[in-house]
Amino acid sequence: MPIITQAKSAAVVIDDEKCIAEKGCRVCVDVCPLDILAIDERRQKAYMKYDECWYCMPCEVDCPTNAVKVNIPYLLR
Amino acid sequence: MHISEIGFCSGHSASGVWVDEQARTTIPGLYAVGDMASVPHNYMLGAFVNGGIAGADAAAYCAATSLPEYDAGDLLVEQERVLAPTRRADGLTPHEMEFKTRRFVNDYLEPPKVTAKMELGQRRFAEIREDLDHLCARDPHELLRALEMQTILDCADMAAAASLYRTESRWGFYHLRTDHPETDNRNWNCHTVLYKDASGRMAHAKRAVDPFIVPVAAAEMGAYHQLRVKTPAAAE
Ligand SMILES: Cc1cc2nc3c(=O)[nH]c(=O)nc-3n(C[C@H](O)[C@H](O)[C@H](O)COP(=O)(O)OP(=O)(O)OC[C@H]3O[C@@H](n4cnc5c(N)ncnc54)[C@H](O)[C@@H]3O)c2cc1C
Ligand code: SF4
Ligand code: SF4
Repeated sequence: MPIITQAKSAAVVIDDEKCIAEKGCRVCVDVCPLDILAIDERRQKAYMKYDECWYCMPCEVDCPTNAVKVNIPYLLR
Repeated sequence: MHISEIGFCSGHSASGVWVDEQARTTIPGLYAVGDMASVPHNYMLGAFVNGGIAGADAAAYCAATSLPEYDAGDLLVEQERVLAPTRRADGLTPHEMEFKTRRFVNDYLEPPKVTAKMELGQRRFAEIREDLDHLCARDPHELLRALEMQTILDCADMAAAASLYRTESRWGFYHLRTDHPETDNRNWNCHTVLYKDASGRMAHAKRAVDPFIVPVAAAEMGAYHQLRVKTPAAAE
């Protein structure tokens, strides 16, 4: 069975202007206990890869440049 | 999968891996702590203390035990089982297989427990198990979810089997069986244990409840039996 990709709005938003992943930063990826953040290899920016966030917040708190914003997901607002 | 899904492991379902006071399982050298062991009503302090005790005992066990021989063939078989979802380019995703399993748990196993529904659930779980040959993982994260999904399916099967075995009702709504609504202390004031028999099939046993360390007044013991839970009419 082929696999399709379904679009969803991301609750965890990274500010590309502030994100310094291109300098090797991986803090948010490393602290996320759910393993849902990743670095976009082409853009060299962090992004929410999987829709499995638990809203525990260390990504937002630990990011050295305040680039991460964890929003309440649309379904819970 | 969301936070609100029913939890059917350990304390939340009055079940878990059987351990003694040092968190030893019935397999020498294998320990289980916290939520997945018998720390009732899952909470962090319990998990920390339980983990500390287990760690100390496990360290002592390791110091006194040399690494036994093991079968390299067994290791390869397990490795292949773990990595199987990565060998497929397409198929069923961990998310949909997990979602379906959890939905069946909600639909067929939730109290009030109905025998016919739980047996139906068992058949549906078996169908999902047949579909495991299509489980597909495209990256390490999906492999993690693929493995967790298989464990959830095991838990679902165990929950159904253990619930069917205990032919009485106990703990208020927790184990309210429509077709066995009475509490039967003569036969079921005991733990029930699931294990694999010689042919690898799920089997049941009863295990006596140890005397309480802290005495509980008889009046308090009855609390669970005075819940004002409506017993629904038998559905079969
Ligand atoms: C939403 C929610 C809120 C809670 N709030 C509170 C609270 O306010 N106060 C409180 O005291 N408790 C609370 N709890 C309960 C508490 O969080 C848990 O009881 C505690 O975290 C359990 O710890 P644990 O180490 O037993 O299990 P876990 O923390 O679940 O650890 C199990 C670990 O095993 C790993 N694992 C699983 N399968 C495998 C495998 N096959 N191989 C390798 N690793 C594996 C998992 O990734 C995980 O890291 C809450 C629980 C939830 C779900
Ligand atoms: S922690 Fe902040 S700066 Fe670092 S990769 Fe993540 S978003 Fe970018
Ligand atoms: S809030 Fe928690 S789960 Fe969500 S992305 Fe941040 S660290 Fe990961």
